[in-house]
Amino acid sequence: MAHRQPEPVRLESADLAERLAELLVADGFVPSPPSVIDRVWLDTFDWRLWRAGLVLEQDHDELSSWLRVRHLGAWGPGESVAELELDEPPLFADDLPSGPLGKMVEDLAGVRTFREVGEAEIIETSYVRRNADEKIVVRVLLEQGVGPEPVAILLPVRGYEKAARRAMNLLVAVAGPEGPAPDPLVRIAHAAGREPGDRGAAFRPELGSVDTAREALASLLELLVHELVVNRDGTVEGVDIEFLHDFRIAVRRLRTILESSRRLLDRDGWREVTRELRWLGRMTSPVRDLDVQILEFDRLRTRIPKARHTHLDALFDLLVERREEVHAELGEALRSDRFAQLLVTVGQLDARDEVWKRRATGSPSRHAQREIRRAYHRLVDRGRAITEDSPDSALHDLRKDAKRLRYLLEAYASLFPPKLVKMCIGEMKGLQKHLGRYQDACYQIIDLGSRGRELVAAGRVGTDELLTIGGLVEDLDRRRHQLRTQFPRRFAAFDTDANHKAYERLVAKP
Amino acid sequence: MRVVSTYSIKGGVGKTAAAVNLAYMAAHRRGRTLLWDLDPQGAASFYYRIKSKVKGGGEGLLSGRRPLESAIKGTDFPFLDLVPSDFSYRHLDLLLDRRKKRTRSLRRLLKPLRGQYDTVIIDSPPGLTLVAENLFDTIDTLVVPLIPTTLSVRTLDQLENFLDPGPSLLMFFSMVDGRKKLHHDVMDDIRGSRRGVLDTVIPAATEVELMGVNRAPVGEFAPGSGAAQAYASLWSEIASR
Repeated sequence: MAHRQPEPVRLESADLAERLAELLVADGFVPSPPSVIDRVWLDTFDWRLWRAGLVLEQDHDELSSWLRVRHLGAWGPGESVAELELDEPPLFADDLPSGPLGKMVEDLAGVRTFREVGEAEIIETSYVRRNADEKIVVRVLLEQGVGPEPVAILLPVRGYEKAARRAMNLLVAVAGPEGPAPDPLVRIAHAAGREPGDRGAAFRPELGSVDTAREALASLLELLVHELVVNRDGTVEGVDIEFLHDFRIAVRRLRTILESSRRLLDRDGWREVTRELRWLGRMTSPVRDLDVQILEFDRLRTRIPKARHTHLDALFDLLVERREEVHAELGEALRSDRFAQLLVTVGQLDARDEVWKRRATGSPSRHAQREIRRAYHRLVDRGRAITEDSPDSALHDLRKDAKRLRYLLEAYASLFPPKLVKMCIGEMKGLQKHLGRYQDACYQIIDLGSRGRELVAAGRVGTDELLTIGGLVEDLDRRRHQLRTQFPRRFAAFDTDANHKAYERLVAKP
Repeated sequence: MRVVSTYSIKGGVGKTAAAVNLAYMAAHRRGRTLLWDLDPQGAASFYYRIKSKVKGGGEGLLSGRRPLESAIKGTDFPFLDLVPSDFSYRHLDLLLDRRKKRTRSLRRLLKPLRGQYDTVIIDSPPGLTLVAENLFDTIDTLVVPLIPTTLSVRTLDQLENFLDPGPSLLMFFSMVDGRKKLHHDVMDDIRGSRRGVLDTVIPAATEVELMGVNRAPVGEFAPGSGAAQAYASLWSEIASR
C-alpha cells in the first residue's frame, strides 16, 4: 500500500484554510465533523528510527490509542507500515508485543529507550468526494495543530487518479507557491526549535576550514564537551544504558585528543585537564562493565546446560545490585562541582592564550599526521612484540593503542582523503573486535570469580550454584585461550604491507 | 503476507459475504489488506461500490501484460484495497488451461505484492475447477462456510478428499437459523467429527442481506449488530490460527 503517497500542501494561514474549505464544498466535497487527536512522536535519543526513514507515533482519540510506524513522508490514514492498539507509549522496543511492528522497531532501536520528540493536539477535518456509485474517489484532509501553519493533505484513492489531479489543482490554486509541507514530525520538531536527526550521527568533525592545530583542537574539544553535556542527564537517569556508552566514548575521545596534544599545551594546563578526565573515565568504568555483563547475561547463560540456568539467578541479582550502587556513585560524580568545573576547564582552554605553546599555530594536518604516525607505529611495534609468553596486560595495552589510533583517525578524518581514511579505519576494525572479545573474556573470568566468592561469603549460593559459576569460568577461559591462540593470525591481517603503505600515504608530507 | 480464500464447492452459502466482512475486519484492525474479487459475478466489488472491470481482463493479467498491481483500487476504508472482478473471469478456467504451469498462475500474480499487504483475502467462485486448483496452490488458509445441512457434509467430504493435503482448512457455520433443530444437530455432528471447525457462527441475519442495499460491509452500517460482531469474532479466530 506504499504507493499512495499523500500530497501535502502548506497553507500560509487559517484564512487560507477556510478559503480552501469553501472551495472544496463548492466543488462537491463533503466534510466530516472535525476529530481531535492527541499525537506523540517517539524516537530514540539518537534518532535511530528517523535515520532509517521511519516515524513512530502514538495517537489517542476518544475511543482508542494506537501506536503506528510509518515511512517518513507517508502520513495519511492507512499509510502506516504497521499499527497496534496500545494504551501507553513503550519505553523500550522490548515492551512491545511480538509482531511486525515490534520486530521492525526492535531491530532499529535495540536497547535504547524511546523519548518523546514532540506532541500535538491535532484537529483533522476530512473532505471527501464521491462518484456516481457514492464511492469515495479522493480525500482532502485539513490538519491544524502540527506547527504554526495549517496543512491540507491530498489523499488520492488508488485507481482514481483523475479525481486526485482535479483536487490537487484546487489545492495549489489556494495555497499558491508555498510548496509541499514537510512531514509532521519535521514540522513539530521545527516548532520546538529542533532539527530531526540533530543527535547521534557518527562522530565526523569538520575541520576543513581551520588554519591552525589550536583551532582544530578547540573545535574537537567543543564538540566532545557538548557530547558530555547532552549525554549527562540520560547517564544519570540510567535507564537507557546507551547514554553512558556515548558519554564514555566522548571521555575517551577527549583523553586521546588531549593526550596527543601534549606538545601544543603548557604542561600544567595539560596535566590538570588530563588528570580530571582520567578521574571521569574511572568513574564510568564500573557501571559500563556491569551494564555489559547484565546485557550479555542471557548469552552467558546459553554457555551452560538449560537445566542449570536458574543456578545463575543469584549471580544476576548481585550484578544488578552492584550496578545500582556504582551507578549511584556515578550519578553523584556527574552532579558534582568537580564535573562542572571539568567542563568549564576544557571549554575555556581555547580562550586561555597562556596555556597554548607557539607551535599550536602550526598546520592542523601536520599535527594530526604526526600523532597518527606515532600512534600507528606504537601499535605496530607493540603488536609485533607480543609473543605466546606475553601477559594478558600486553594485549589490553594493545587494545588501548588501537582505540587511540582509531579515535585520532576519526577526529582528524576531514583533513585527509576520505577513501584513504576509510581504508585505514577498515583495517583497524577486525583487530579491535578481536582484542575487544579477548578483553571481555579476561574481564568476565576475573569478575565472575570475585562475584562467586562474594556470593559464598554472603551465604547467597549453594554448591550447585558455585559449581555452575565455576563451570562458566572454565568455559570462558577456554574461549580466552582460543582467542589468544588466534591473535597472531589476526594481528598479521592488520600488519600487512598494504596497510602499512596506506598509513604511509596518510602521514606523508605534502 | 498471508493469503486466505473463502471458498465453497456449492454456491449461495455466504462465501462472498464472509470475504467482504472478513476483509473489512482485517483492515479495521489496521492490517494492510487486499480483497481480490475473483468471482465473475462481482458481488464483492459491488458491495465496495467498485466497478467490476479490469483493464485487459483475465487474459491481460495471466499473460503478464498487466500486473495485478495495476488493477488494484482503494476502497472507502483505510488499509483496505480491492482487485475488482471482471466479467471475463467466467472464462478463467479456459485461460488458465492454456498456460504453462497451469495451477501456479495465481501464485505468480500475487508474488509482487509481498511486502505491500499483511493479508490477501480472495473471494473465489464456487466449484472444483482449475481456478480452485490454482487457489489451493496459492493460499495459506482456505476458509469454508458451511450451511448446517446434510448436503454440506457431503460437499465437505468431496473437498477434503480433493485437497489432501492442500492448504490449511478452516470451516465455519454460515446462515445459521438458531430456531432450527436440524442446524444444531448438524453443527454438533460436524464439530464432533472434524478438526478445523471454528467456534464462531454466522447467523442468517437481515443485516447481511442489507449489505446489498447499503453497498457496504455489515460492520460499517450496523457495527453493533450480532452479524457484525460475529464477523469480527470470525476474523479473530482466523487471524489467530
